[in-house]
Amino acid sequence: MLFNSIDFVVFLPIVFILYWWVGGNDLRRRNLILLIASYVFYGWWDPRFLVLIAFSTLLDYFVGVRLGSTSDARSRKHLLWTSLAVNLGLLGYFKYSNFFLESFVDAFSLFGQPFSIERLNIILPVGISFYTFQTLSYSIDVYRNKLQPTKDPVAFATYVSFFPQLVAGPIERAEKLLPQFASLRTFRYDMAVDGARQMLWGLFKKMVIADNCAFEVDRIFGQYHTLGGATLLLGSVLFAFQIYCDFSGYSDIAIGCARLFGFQLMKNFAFPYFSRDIAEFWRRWHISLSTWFRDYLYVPLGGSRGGTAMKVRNTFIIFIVSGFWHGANWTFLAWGALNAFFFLPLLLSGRNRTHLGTVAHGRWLPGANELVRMLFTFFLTCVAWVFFRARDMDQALGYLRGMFTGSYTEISAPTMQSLPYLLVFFLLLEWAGREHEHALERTGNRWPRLFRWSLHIGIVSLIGLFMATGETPFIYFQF
Amino acid sequence: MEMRRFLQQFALFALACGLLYPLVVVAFSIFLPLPYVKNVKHPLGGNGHMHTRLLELEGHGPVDVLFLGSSHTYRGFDPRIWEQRGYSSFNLGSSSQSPVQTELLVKECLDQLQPRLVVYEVYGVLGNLDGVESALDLIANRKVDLACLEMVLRVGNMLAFNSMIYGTTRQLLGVDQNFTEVRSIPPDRYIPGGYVQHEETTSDTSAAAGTSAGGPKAFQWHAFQRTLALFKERGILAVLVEAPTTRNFHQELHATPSEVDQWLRAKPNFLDMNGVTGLADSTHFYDRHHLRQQGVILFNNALIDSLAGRDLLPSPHVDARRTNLGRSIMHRMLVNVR
Repeated sequence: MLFNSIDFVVFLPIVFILYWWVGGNDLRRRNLILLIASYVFYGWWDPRFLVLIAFSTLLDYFVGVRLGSTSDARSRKHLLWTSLAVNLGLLGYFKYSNFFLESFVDAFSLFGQPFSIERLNIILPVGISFYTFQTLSYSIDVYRNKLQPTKDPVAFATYVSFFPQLVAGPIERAEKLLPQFASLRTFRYDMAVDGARQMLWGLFKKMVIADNCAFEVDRIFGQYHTLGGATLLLGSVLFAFQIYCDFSGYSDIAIGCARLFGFQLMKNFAFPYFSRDIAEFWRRWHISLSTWFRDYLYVPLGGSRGGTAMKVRNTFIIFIVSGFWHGANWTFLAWGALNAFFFLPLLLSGRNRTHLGTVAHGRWLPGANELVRMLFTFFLTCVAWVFFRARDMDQALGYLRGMFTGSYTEISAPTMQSLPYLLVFFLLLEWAGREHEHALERTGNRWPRLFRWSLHIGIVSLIGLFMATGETPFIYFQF
Repeated sequence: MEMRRFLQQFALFALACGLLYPLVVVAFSIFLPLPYVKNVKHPLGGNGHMHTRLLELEGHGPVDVLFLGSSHTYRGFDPRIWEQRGYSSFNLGSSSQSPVQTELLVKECLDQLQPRLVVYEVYGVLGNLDGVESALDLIANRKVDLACLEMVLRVGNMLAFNSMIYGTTRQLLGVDQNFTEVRSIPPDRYIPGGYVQHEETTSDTSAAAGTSAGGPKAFQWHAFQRTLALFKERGILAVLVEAPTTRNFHQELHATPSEVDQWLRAKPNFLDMNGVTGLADSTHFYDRHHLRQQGVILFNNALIDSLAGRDLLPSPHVDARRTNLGRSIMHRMLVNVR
């Protein structure tokens, strides 16, 4: 079920009513309602894969219980490896089988032994990368004794499958989200209203900005070899907006939706395009995944504690694995590696934590230096996004060649004439809200209701007037 | 208490949105050039001459045969040929007409036209149309009323919904009252009786066909079935016709036969006119969908013969009032073609 579908418009109020009224003050009943709702939400797409999510849930629940009941180091290690092997095995089978098969065939062809293998007919279960990482964080944290294993299977199953963030995150840590299922939530007006506002902004980002940029991006990437450098640059800029608004829009809807049920999810994006260097960008982009890799991969590898060689190795590992997490394609690996190249100079010179606060804190406008830094960082991300968007390496390299060597004397303007104005509106609101949880958290909050509601009704109207009219899935569903 | 407050505020906000949204749509549509407002369109006198067709329909008397369907219909069934063979007719085809629009038009005109035979061209059923293009066509060129609202709700598309708000406003303000559609915009020429003759000499048959494999959306299929049920209820004979398209187009379209395809082919009143009329792709088509006039003449005569052969045609209704339309033009045209 998509957040931007009529199905969800019907589904959400029903679950909301069931949860707060039928659930009453019974914690288990409420959790059970959320669990059933989450399985309906996921099964709407393809009920067969409910078996998979149920299996992962049961496995990690029992691994957790067993970890809690034994102090034998060897047994504990076996239990952890069971969880890792099964979860990552399933992820690997569904997501990477064909990639490894094809790479295997290509490698043999290089040595003059051409042969072919039929691709496996595998459907990638939506959200498998997200919920696998979520359940893994539970097993690892219990193994590390950072978390007491839960004895409530319903609460745990709901934690794994919680519908707002099930298919595209934020990837929640058990230590933060699981306790929320163990205490009775009370309805808070301010929290619910702010959740609704965040959902509204997320829908605007997805349905107006991302989907309309997608149309232009598809056009430009589809005929890149016939277009000039300026148009190709425009294409990569529009894709930067598309991917951000698509994914952070989803996160905003997920976080807002969870708040309607009294849950607090972690922030996933912190206005990353207002970053002054790549290190800051990566602290603000897909935060739940970046911190997951930091805590469960980068730090165990030694992080940035060792010598230069170790720092370089660990940086490349984390960025390349992050790229590979996104999909089984060399383009994602290249995207990760390129970001590592952008990041390394900052790390090695010790300047990777220079910009920890928000740009132009307490001011309306950035300084010239900040503006240049932001634009340069944005340009670097746009270059990297070309790999992320391209169908294969040939297209990515051809696109970049055209972007850097093609003509800048003419540009193929977007076919949607209002798109530039919508982008300006979007950027202004994001800039105004950059110091808060989301763009609409404070904007207009102190205004009289008439003006505040005018802004919100205006956004609803813009969605109606400019949304893409077909149902468009979120990009990150494929990951 | 907090929940009650939340629900009250939410209901109030929803109400305010519901009341103000139409005003915003109208304001944007009036004060900005329409190309800037993505989800509002008003194709007054757009493709297919629907404006003129509906004006003509207003004063039209009963007919023997009524044609329904997409552009294959209004560019494929020539009332002059049918008249030559003794049948009065009216062509109510329109651009991308899908079953929900057909249902609306049929309900509206059946009492007036009292057809004895309906020729329902079924590309719109096979083609998995969303119905938006045709909805916009009807909103701009026909009065906006409750039937129109029902049709827009069935289509369930924001573009159609916004355009209806804008179309209603224009109608209330009488903006389009004095609009007159140009009947001849080369290479198209509107022919009385609802037909549009295409007079281009060049041809481009390269457009992709799409597929019928997806079949119609549920709301379209239900509308299609309701329309057929209405004909049955009124005792009107309806034949379902797949109009000729180029050979490649037809093959691509039916590469994977859909359930609808199979359903249609099992019907005794279904006629697939592809490959039965001796039409040649390069000579008789100007694109992959549509026939040149020479092709139209061959196809229409073949269809009439085929219907007669299956005993599906009512007896010719030789009525001067119904059949004197364009007889001499028809005669000249047939002579020229031959």
